[in-house]
Amino acid sequence: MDMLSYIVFLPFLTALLVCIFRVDTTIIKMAAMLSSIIVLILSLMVVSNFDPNGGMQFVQITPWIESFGITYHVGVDGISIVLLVVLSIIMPTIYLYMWNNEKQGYWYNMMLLQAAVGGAIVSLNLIQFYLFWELMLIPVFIMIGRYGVDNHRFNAMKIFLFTAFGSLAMLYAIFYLGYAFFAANGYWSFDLYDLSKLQLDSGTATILAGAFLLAFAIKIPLVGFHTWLAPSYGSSPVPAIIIMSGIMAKLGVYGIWRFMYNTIFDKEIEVFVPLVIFLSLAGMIYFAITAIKEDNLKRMFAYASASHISLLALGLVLANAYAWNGSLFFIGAHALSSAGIFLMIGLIASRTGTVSIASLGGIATVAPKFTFFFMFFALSIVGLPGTGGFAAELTIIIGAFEYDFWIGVVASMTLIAAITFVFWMLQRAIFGPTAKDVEGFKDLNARELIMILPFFVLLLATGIFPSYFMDIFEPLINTLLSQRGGAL
Amino acid sequence: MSQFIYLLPLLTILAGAITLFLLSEFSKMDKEQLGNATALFICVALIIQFFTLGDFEPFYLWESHFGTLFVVDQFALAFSMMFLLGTLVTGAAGARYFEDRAHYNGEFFSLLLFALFGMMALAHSNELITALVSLETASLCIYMLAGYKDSKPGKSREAMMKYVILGSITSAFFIFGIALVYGGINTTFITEILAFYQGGGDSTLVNLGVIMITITVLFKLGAVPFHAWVVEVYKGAPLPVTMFMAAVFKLALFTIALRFYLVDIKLLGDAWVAVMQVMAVLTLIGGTWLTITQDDLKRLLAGSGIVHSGYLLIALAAIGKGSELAPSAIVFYLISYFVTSIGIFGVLSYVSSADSKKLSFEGFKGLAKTRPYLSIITTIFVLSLAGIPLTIGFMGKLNVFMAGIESQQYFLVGLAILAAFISMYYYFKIIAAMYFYDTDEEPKVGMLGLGTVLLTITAIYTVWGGVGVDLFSILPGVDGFMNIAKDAISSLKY
Repeated sequence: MDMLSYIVFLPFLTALLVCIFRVDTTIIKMAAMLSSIIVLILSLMVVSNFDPNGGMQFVQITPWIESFGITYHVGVDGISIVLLVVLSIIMPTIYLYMWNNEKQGYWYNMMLLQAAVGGAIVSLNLIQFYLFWELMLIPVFIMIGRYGVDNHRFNAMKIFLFTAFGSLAMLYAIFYLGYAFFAANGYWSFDLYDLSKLQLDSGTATILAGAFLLAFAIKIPLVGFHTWLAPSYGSSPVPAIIIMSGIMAKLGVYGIWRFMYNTIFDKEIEVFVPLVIFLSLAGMIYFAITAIKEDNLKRMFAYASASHISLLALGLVLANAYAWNGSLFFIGAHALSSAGIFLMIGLIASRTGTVSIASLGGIATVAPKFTFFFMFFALSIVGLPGTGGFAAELTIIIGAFEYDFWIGVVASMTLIAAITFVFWMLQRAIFGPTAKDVEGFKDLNARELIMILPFFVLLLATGIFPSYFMDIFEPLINTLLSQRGGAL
Repeated sequence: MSQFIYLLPLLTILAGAITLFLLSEFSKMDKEQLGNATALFICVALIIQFFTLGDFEPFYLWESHFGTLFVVDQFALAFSMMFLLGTLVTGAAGARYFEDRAHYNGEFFSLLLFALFGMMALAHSNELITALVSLETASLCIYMLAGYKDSKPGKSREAMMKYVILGSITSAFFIFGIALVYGGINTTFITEILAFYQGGGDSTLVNLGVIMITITVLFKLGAVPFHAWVVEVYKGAPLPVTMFMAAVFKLALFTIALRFYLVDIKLLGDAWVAVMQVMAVLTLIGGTWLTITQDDLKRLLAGSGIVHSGYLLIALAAIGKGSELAPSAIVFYLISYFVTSIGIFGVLSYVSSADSKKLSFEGFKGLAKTRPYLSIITTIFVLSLAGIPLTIGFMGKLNVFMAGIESQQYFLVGLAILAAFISMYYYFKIIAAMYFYDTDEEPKVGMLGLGTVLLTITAIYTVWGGVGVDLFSILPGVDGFMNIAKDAISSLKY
């Protein structure tokens, strides 16, 4: 069962082949699309063969760098499968969005990005994880710097250096863990499960956990680590934003889940829980308020997405059944709705040449279909009942109330703040008198409809039958929580 | 007689050097032919050297005649291979560069081969005076090569004079060090100095001598505060010579340094560790400080070379703390630095001669459009220099930092990681220059010359040395390179 390896490396190999044979742009497009569809099929096969009670599945361990005991180790469990499937669903739609884009660099970078992000999701060896974690920055760096707008070269360097700083802190911790394992056992290993067995004194372990958390906090970003966020989202081309907000930001949350809870830093995370709770509550409110006053749509939804991912982070560290189920569900639902809304923003940008709310307005009168879907995705982000986001946010907030009444109160306030900025944005950008830039705004065509349809359908499906989707990861979460209960 | 084959590569190079020297005087060969002749001699030496590799017990060459002057072990052979390859690539990548410049004649190539001979002899030296003579053979040739430029003779000569004077002073330190050691224990053989220390001997004279020799090594490495010459000389020297100095000559220093330190310095103890740690801190900070503002790529690589020396100093300090990992980590790091720097300098050489572009961020703007493949190759080398995974440079850093962690130098490793972080900034500026800017120039079709082929092969090694597994004996993966490094080190411990 090497299915996961195919999922990770197929986009990379496609990029390599089209690069070597230097084919023309049409063939690159087709190859990229084909590879992403095959990956989608493979990941659906993974889902259909997935046993919710089975723990880590589709595991493949191959010796790789024997001098340091580094293995190639991949596998999915209930947590990572959500991200993997969402990534596979998003990619073909991004290609569909880019279909008229003749710039080859876009296609290469997106293929490499898919491979790197996919690799980070399934990696269970720390060096291998770091490899993909670091590599996914490079396509983003080039995408923003090459194809971005508004001071994009500076912003590309900014996002790269910010995230690289966190990664290097994590790298130091990984090296330390690796050596500590070697010193304790006499052989090398960087495997997640081997390192989890390591006994470290609590002071050191806390520092190491802090280093990991720094990397993840920058990636999420928690408030205080977020200064790269709006500039790079504002400058970035839409395909890169979708991956950044849809998957990469969640990888920060996923990283905490994978490497801290129930594994290496199971005890040490408790030290940081109050801090993370504070930062994510502050972030939810702060980002939502910043979003209200933001005029640039990309930047506004960057803050909106940061606000919601702070909610995710909150749900994660609360560590009870409601919060965890909700968070994991929200990872999927938010990825879908943010991909949807950023696609719509991309369409606005390509039609009008602007994403400034002040110069938009009156789209509703000229493009009804567009307006419907735009509103649907915008509202699904704030938790429109009937969409996946609603079920997820509600579950997290119930979890928050269960943990502490006042945390629950603050968490539910984000919903109000989110409704404020979304409705006010809709009022100015979509309704009202027709602005000069919006004249001649074309409604959605067939390609664009196909492109957003999967998100529409999935958001409705996850909203109406949430339990059907939660079944995939609920058993795992119950096991994990009961293990923790046993440990504590 | 069977030992003769181990001497043959050296003799081939020496014969080549003399032949080219004579040819440049008497015949009317043009530069291309001279270059080819150089390549031929190196290739012959390389092939012979290749057949000498393998498992054997280290021995002294013709011990009955020469005593223990000249040692043959895997360590020396591994480094000799790198010197030969490096010189070959230098010549091939510089071919275009020489073509346009009238004053490169047989003497240039002859000096190159003499320098190569000196370095190979240095790798085999087991005695300090032999080491000194070999080192000076190489150094003198490189002094001359550094001044070999007529476009801006003033700059080049100034750099050369600076280098000669400072270099000579440090050589004096080396000689002084040898004298002190000899004064202390009546020997200049490295193995006997080891025996002295192992026997629990302690002599101020010998310690002082060792410190003097250390100063020479640190100077040649460009460790801060002995770094004043590096940037000027690298900038002033002709590009192929800069490449030769950065990628090849730097390694040569480590042959003697490792041979000497592994056996001796380990026993010197805490004072040595403290010196190395202070040097490492200074070198990391100073090198980064120097590099971060550079706009010229030659100067940038010169400065970042100092930072790379800083990482290596951490590993040298780790040796003093009895680290098991450090020696092979150093060799691995040197291999990775060697592969990467011949690559990146090869790219510079190609860009400056084929496109006659300025070697600055300005000159690299839009390279991704005009030369897409070259840009990919350059990106690979830059990633490797910055220590991004997927490349041999990452594995090199992993090795060195592990050695630092093993010897509990947490602060230094943290500082080094910080330096690596800052280095990402200046290295990624190169990538940014290539990919972020558009240009009006049309894409150019690259020529399939020896230079491009070697660059591609180097790029493949750079990637495969970072992620690969050993599939073919000729293309070692990470483990293959690790084994080379470990074999080289274990052959040192007689």
